[in-house]
Amino acid sequence: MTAVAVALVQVLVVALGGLLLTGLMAKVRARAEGRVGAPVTQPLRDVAKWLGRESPRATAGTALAIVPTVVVATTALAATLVPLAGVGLVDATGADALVVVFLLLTGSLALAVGGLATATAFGGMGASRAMTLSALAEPALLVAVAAFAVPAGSLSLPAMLGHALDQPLTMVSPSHVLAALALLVVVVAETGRMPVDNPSTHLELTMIHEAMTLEYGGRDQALVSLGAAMRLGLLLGMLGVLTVPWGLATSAAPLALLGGLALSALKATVLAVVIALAEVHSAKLRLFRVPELLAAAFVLAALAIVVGVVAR
Amino acid sequence: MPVLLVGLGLGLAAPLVGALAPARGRTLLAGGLSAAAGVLAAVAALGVLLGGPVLRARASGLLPLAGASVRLDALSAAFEVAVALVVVTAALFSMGYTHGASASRPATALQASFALGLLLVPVAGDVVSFLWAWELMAVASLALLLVEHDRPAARSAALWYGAMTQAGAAAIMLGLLTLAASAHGVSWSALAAARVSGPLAVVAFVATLAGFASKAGAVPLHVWLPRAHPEAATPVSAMMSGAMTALGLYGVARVDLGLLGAIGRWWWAGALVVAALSALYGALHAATATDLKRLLAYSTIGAMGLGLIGLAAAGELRASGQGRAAATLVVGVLVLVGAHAAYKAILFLAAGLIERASGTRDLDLLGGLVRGMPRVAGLVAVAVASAVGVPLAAGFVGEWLEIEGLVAGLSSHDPGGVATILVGLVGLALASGLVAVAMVKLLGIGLLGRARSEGAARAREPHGIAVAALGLPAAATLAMGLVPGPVVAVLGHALGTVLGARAGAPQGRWDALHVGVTASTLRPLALLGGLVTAVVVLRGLARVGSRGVRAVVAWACGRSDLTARMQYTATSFAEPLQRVFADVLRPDIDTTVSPEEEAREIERVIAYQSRVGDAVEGGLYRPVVRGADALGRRARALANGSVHRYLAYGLVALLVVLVVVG
Repeated sequence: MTAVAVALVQVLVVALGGLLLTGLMAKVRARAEGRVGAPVTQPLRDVAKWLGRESPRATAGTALAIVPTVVVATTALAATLVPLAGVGLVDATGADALVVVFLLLTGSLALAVGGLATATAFGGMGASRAMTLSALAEPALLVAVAAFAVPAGSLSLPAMLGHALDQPLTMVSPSHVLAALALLVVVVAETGRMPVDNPSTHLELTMIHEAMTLEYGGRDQALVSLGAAMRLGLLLGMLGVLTVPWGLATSAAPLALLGGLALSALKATVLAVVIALAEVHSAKLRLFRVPELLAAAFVLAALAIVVGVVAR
Repeated sequence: MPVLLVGLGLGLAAPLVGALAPARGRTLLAGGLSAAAGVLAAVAALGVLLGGPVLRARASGLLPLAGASVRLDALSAAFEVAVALVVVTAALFSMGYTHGASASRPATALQASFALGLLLVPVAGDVVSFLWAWELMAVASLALLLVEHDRPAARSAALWYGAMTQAGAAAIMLGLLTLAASAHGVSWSALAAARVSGPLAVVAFVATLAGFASKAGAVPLHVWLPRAHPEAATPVSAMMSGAMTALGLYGVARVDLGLLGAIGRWWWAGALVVAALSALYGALHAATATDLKRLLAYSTIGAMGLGLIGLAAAGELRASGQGRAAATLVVGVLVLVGAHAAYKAILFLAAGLIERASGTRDLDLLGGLVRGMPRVAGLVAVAVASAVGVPLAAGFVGEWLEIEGLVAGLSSHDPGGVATILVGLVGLALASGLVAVAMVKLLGIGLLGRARSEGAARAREPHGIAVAALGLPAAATLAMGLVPGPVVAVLGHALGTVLGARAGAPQGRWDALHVGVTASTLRPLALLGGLVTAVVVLRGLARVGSRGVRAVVAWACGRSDLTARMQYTATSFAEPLQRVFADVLRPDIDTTVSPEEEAREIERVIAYQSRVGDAVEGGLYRPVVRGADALGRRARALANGSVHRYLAYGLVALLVVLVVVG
């Protein structure tokens, strides 16, 4: 019962937190650039506003109608699987890291299919670019997650985090640092942040994620934006707990769980601020240079595995 | 036992009926018999998988040398079920689809023989029967390519296929006979008892692995596959891709892992590198292909590469004492084979329906088919979900098990072994990422969007059994994805034959799948529950305060005069990827600018052409073919038509023989 409650709370926290983090990152960027910027709650207000509008759909057919639902549903399901509060709960759904990776992949594939279904040039362009990057980012994510899994010998997320909590010294090992760096690069690419994609661009030709979602409006737009924000919140949260698992509850006590969840949110917030500050000082990479960045993430993750074994 | 024999008997009757029956009802009769044979073989195989005894039968006078024997153990059964799924689907499909030249007597009989060969290979109980069945499968499929011999592409494909498949069969024969020479008898159990080792084992290992890997489309022995699979008639290409390539993996599992597994781990490490390269190569070409069937053929190379990665890694891990991780990998490969058989059958057969309805299989000319062919589009979507590894479809279960096994191997291994297994993991990850691009392209460009040609706009799906037949593999895909526990539990029985031990086999219950070595659990039904809940909640929210949906013209940044030609095409979709991997793909890009007659500075037409050939074929095979050709031309000088010269040759040859023998 606790497990189900925690899972539901996690979905809510990831949804709200993702929206707030999106707003926070925009605010940090604005302040760093000397602007006032929109309030942190702006993404939340936007989504609430769009939810009350009618949805214009360009092409009749099921593809465009189901894509927003698929994106949010798969991300929400993934949010229940990552132990953001504690590792001591009864494993109810099979909290396997691979399931999380492939659920996120399902969401991004659905978005790309939706982009192609619009039958417009921009939709296709966004889908093509997103899939080119995803073809390299998803594998890098998989290998980076495996790099965290190898020391524990398990791909089950509670087992991975529990192992790291039991042996705190592994957290300062070179292999752990390399794996964390690899995951950071992948998270930046997967959430469409600079230098891979510019989330606040207004120029269609430079868009990746936004180009796929141009044709959504109203409620559909709300769901797509919510999905992207949840993805950001979840990936940052996952990066936070995998890199520094301290503070996660090891029992099922409600207070410990709440504390763990709060600490995970704090870690994600810190990461968000750091990424936003880094964004201010970086220029967007040319599309054909991004694969080099992702290849670097690949090499880091592979190195992390090898270094970990040699040091064992 | 009787079930299996009756099934094989019906399979044998099918070609005869195909050869004798009158044109009316020929495809129905032969297809029905083939389908019945497949169903009975699958029933017998399921009986064995569920714990029944190993089925054996012998007919000593049927084949020369050693007689024919049939043996259905759990490993055979696992592959027999996958093969039967494809055979039954393709047979039912062709009952509604095949007419014209493909329904002639020879074509019908050959197709039924091919189906019989596929069903026989896994149940062959000894080396001689195996080689006969293998050749039946190879020769029948080769002849089927030549049914449409008036097309140059089909002739060239048949030439490549014939050369490669016979070279492969020769290598397999060499390897198996090397083994049989040091064993008492030719049955699989006699070969296993002989425990061959040393240089002979190495010869047998390399020869059989090359032969079987070529059948499974491993680089660089894959060149026949992207030519032959697209050129064959649709049901035949489905059987080639879904079933025949899988039998290459069967050979590796049965002979190389099962009989020669004790060979040094570095041989397996070498095999793993080849497997990873071929998974990547196939997936990359699938991602950039624009011909629907060529895309599918290359994705078969990618999928079989994933299977080979699993088997090679299992060999390496077992040789270095990690049998438990190896067990997970082998079961993963068996699941992957079943999943691939199901989704590739759907995709190839759907490609045939699409080609017939629209008149093209060029993705650049398709699009919008979801309106005219909704049921086909839905089935393709299920297959695509399985191919890219969407949780809840069969393909994911196989990939999941395989990655679990690789990670288990990584976490308790010495540095040399880790480097090897890491090659497998990286290859698998990258290949699955690239396959996702290929499949999104197939679905998004081929079926969604707007029609890019008249034919695609007019395409309508047929009624009847041709579409209904695809429901069978689609149901299998979903069943295996949602309830993988029992499937995995019964597949564990095959481990005894492959690895000699069952320790570490993944355990399955009806609602869960548990891998002991990595302490990981997969609960697809719970995931389904979560997903359904999420969707219901979202839909429910959609009702509250919603102002509905309005159909509008696509906004497209303000343009209202969009035409179908402004959409992305398959070529432009894959162009960034083609650029990223230009060093591997070596595309031929031609840009021709034709200026106006009167004013040369004004460009009238700019023609852009991009073609991705097979770099391995150009770099490795062309020189060999050219060399053989040149040698042949030189040798013509020896035969100048003079009878005296020929008599002299004979005399010299006789003298040489006498000197050598004397």
